[in-house]
Amino acid sequence: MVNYELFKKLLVLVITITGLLLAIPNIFSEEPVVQISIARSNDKLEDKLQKQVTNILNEANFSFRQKYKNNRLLIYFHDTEEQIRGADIIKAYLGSQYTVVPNLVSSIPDWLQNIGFHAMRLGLDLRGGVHFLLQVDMNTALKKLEDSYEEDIKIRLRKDQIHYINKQLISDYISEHSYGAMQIAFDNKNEKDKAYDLISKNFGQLEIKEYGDLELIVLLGKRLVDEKKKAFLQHNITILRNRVNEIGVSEPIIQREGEDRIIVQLPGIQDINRAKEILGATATLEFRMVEEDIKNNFSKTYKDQHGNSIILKNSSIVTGNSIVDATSGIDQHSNKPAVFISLDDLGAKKIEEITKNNIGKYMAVLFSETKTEKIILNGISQRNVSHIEEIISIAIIRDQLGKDFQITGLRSLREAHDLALLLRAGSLATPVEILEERTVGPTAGRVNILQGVRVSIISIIVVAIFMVARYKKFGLISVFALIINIILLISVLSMLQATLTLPGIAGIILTIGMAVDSNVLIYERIREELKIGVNPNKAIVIGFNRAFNTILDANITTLIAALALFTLGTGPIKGFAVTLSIGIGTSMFTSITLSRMLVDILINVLYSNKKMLKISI
Amino acid sequence: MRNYHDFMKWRRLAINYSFISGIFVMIILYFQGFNLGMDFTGGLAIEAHYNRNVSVNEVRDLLVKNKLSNAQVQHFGTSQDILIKLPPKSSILQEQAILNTKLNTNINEKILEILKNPDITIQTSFLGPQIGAELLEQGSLAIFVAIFGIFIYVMLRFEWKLAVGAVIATIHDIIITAGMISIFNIEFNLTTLAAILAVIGYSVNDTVVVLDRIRENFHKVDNNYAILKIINISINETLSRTITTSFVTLLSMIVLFLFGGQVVNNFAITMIIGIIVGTYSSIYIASSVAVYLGLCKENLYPTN
Repeated sequence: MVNYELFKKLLVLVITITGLLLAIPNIFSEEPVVQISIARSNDKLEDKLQKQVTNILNEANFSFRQKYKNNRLLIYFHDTEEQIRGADIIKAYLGSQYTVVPNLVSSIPDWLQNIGFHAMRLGLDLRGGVHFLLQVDMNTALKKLEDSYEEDIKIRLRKDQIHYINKQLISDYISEHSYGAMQIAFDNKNEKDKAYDLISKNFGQLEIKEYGDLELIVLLGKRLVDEKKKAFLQHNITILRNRVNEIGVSEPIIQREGEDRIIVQLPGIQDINRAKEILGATATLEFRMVEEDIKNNFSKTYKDQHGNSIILKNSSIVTGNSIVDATSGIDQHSNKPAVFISLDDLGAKKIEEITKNNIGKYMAVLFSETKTEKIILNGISQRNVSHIEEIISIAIIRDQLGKDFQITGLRSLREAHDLALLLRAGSLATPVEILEERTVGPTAGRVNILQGVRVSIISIIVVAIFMVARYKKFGLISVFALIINIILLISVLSMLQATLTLPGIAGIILTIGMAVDSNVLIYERIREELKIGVNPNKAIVIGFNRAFNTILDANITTLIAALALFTLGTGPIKGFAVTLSIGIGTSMFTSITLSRMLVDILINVLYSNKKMLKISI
Repeated sequence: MRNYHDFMKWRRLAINYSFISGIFVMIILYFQGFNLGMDFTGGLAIEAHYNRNVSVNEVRDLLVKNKLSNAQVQHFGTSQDILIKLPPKSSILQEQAILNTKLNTNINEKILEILKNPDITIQTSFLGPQIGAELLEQGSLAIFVAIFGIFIYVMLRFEWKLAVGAVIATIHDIIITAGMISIFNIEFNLTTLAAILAVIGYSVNDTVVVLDRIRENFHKVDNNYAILKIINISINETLSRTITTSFVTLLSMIVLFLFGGQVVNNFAITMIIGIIVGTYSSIYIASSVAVYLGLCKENLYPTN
C-alpha cells in the first residue's frame, strides 16, 4: 500500500517535471534573419563572400550577428525592418547567382532541438504570413483530356476507314457530363458495331453507350475520372511545393483538403504579391520548327514580340516537360537576358536529331500562358480562359544542338528569372482558383501574441485572487495547480506540434475558468462534509472521491462540444478546438491527481504532529 | 437546511417564462436575422493601421472617390486602426480570386494606392462566397452533432428522461443566446459560432453536475420519496458550487472581453451571455422537464 502511494506520487512528479521541461523551448523567440546560399545548390560558400557581405553591412551601419550553418550564411538582424533593408542591400550586391531570403528563425539552441524539444507552432495570426485555400479546376483539365481522346478516336476511325459523322451533343448529356462527351453517327449498324469494338479495344478506360441504332456516345469512364482527379491534385501539390521552395519560406504548409482543394500556408512571408505571382503562373515553353510549306493546313500562325506573323509547325520538338534545369543570366555574346536550359536524355536526343537534319532552317521558341479571367455577364460570374501564345525567339540552326543551350529574347532579367523558375518547377496541371486568402503582417502577429499573453496573465491573477479569498490555503493550492495546468497544456501543444492561434488563446482562457471548476467541486464537497460533522481527514478523502465522477461527466460533455467544433473551418477555429480539448485533459490531471497530492503535502506540513480537528476551507 | 430555497415551486413559472421568451426570441430572429460576419458571407476585409489618428469619413471619402462606394468603413479598436469591408459582390473581388496576378492588379496594392499613405500597414482577409456558405452549413452540423453526442452520453450515464431534460435545456440556451446576439447586433462570425459551441459544452457541464447530485440523492431514499423535494435538495446542495464556478468563468470571460482585443470580442460577449443563461437552465429547465416526464427513483436505480 505504501509503495503504491509512493509510486503514484513519483509518477505525478515525473509527469509534471517532464511537462515543465517540454514547455521551455517556447521561451525562445524567433529572430529575423537573412539566409544567403548559392542559388539552387548546396555548395560551400566562399570565405571571401562572408567578408564581403559583412563589409557592406558594416558600411551601411547595420548591427547584426552572423552564423555559418549547413552551407548557408545567416545574418541575424534586430528587427524585421532592418531585416528587409539588409536583404535588399545584400540582394543588390550579390546578384542572382545567390539566393537571398528573409526568414524568421527560432532561437532555440541546436542541442535542444536535436533531442526533440520544439516550441509550439504559431498560427498565421500570431506569426504573420499568408494563407491560401485553393480550388483546383478539374473541369477544364478533364475537358482537355476528353478533347484529346476525341482527336485520337477520330484518327483511329479514319485509319480503319470507318466513316462517321461527329454530331452536336444533345443537351441531356451536356448537363450530366460537364467535361464533355463525343457523339458519333454511322452509316449503318455494321459500321457502328465495328467502331464499338475498335473503341472498346483501344480505349478501354472510356465509357461507350449506344444511342439509337446508329449512334454511339463516348465519355470518360468514372474510374478514369477519379484517377485523373487524384493525379491532377497530386501533380498540382507537387508543383506548388516546388514553387514554394523557390520562394524560400521556412515551414511552409501545402496539403490537400478534400477532393479538389489545396491549402497553402506561407508563414513569415514578407512579399505577398510576389508569392502569388510565383504560385499562380501557368506559363510554359515549346520548341517548334518554322513551317516552310505554306500550303500545310495544319500549321498555325503565331506572332512574335515585334508583331510579325510567323507560321510554325504543329508538332513540338521539345516541351517544358523535358527541361531538367533552367537558370537565368546574361548571355555573353549578346549581353541580353537569357535562360540557360538543360534537357533530359529523351529531349536531348530529339533536339539532336532535329537539329542535325535541319541545319540552316529556323527554330522558334513558343511561350504560352493560360490566363483565367472572371467576367460578369448578365449578372452571372463566368470564367473566361484565354491562352496567350507568343514567339519569344527565332534562330537559325547553325549546328547540331545538344543537352544544354540557351534562349534569348526575354524582355528583362526579371522575366528571364521567372521563366527559369517556372521551367524548373513545372507547370500546373489545371487552373487554380483562390477560395480563401488571409494575410497577416509580421508586426500584427507579434502584437497579437503580446496581447494574448497579457490577457492570460490577467486572467490567472483575477481567478487567483478569487480562489484564495474563498478557499484560503486550499485556494492557493488550486492556483498553483492551475499554473502547472497551463504549462502542461503548452508542453502538450509543443510536443504534438499543434498550432496555437488567437482563438486558441481564448480557448486557454476558457480552460482557466473551467479548470478551476474541478477544484471548486472538490472543495465545496469537502465543505459540505465538514458541515455535517465528518472529521477533516475523512472529509478530504470523500471530497476528492465523490467529486471524481462528477468531474469526469462534466468534462467529457465539454469535450464532446469541443470535438464537434474540431470539424469546422480551416485554421484559427481548429486551433481553438485543439487547445480546449487538450486543456480539458490537462485540467483533469492537475485538478484531481496533482491537487490531491498537494493537499496531502499541505496537511502533512500543517498538521504533522497535532491532531487535525478543523481546517479552514 | 439553512438557506433552503424551494426552487421547484417556481418551476411552472420558469417553464412558461422560458417558453415565452423562446418564442419571442425566435420571432426576433425571423425578422432581424443575424449580422453575419465575413466568415459566412464571403468578401474582403482590410485592416489598416495608420501612424496617426484617422477619421472614418476621411477613409470613406477616399474609397468613394475611387468607385468603392459600397465599402463599409469603421474603427477597429483604436482610432489609428481602420477596418474596411467589401461585400462579396464587388467587381474588384472578382480579380482577387485569380491566382495569377500578372495582368490583374492585386487588391492590396489597389487599396494602398487609394488610401494614399505609404506609412500604413495593412492586412487582408479574403473569402470566396462558397466557403462562407459551406462554413454556415458545417457550423449548423457541428451544433447538431454536439447536441446529439451529449444526448447519447447523458442517456448512457443517467437515463433518458434526464437526457431529454439536458437537451431541452441546451436548446433553450442556444436559442436565447442566439436571440441576444441578434438583438445586440453582435457580429456573427466563426468565433461567435465557436463561443456558442463552448456555451453548449459549459451549460451541459453545469447541468450534469446538478443531475449527478440528483442521482446520488435518489440513491439514499426509498422509491416514494417526493421527487420535487429531492430535486430541490440537490439543487440547493450544488448551488454554492454552481454560483462559484459560473462566477469564476464569468470573471475570466470579462477579462477576455476587456483586454482580449477585437478578434475575440464577440467570443467573450457570447460566452458571458451563455454562462448566465446556462446557469439558469441548469437549475430550472433540465430537472423540470424530467419531472414533467415523470422521473422517479426506478428510472435511475431499476430494481431487478
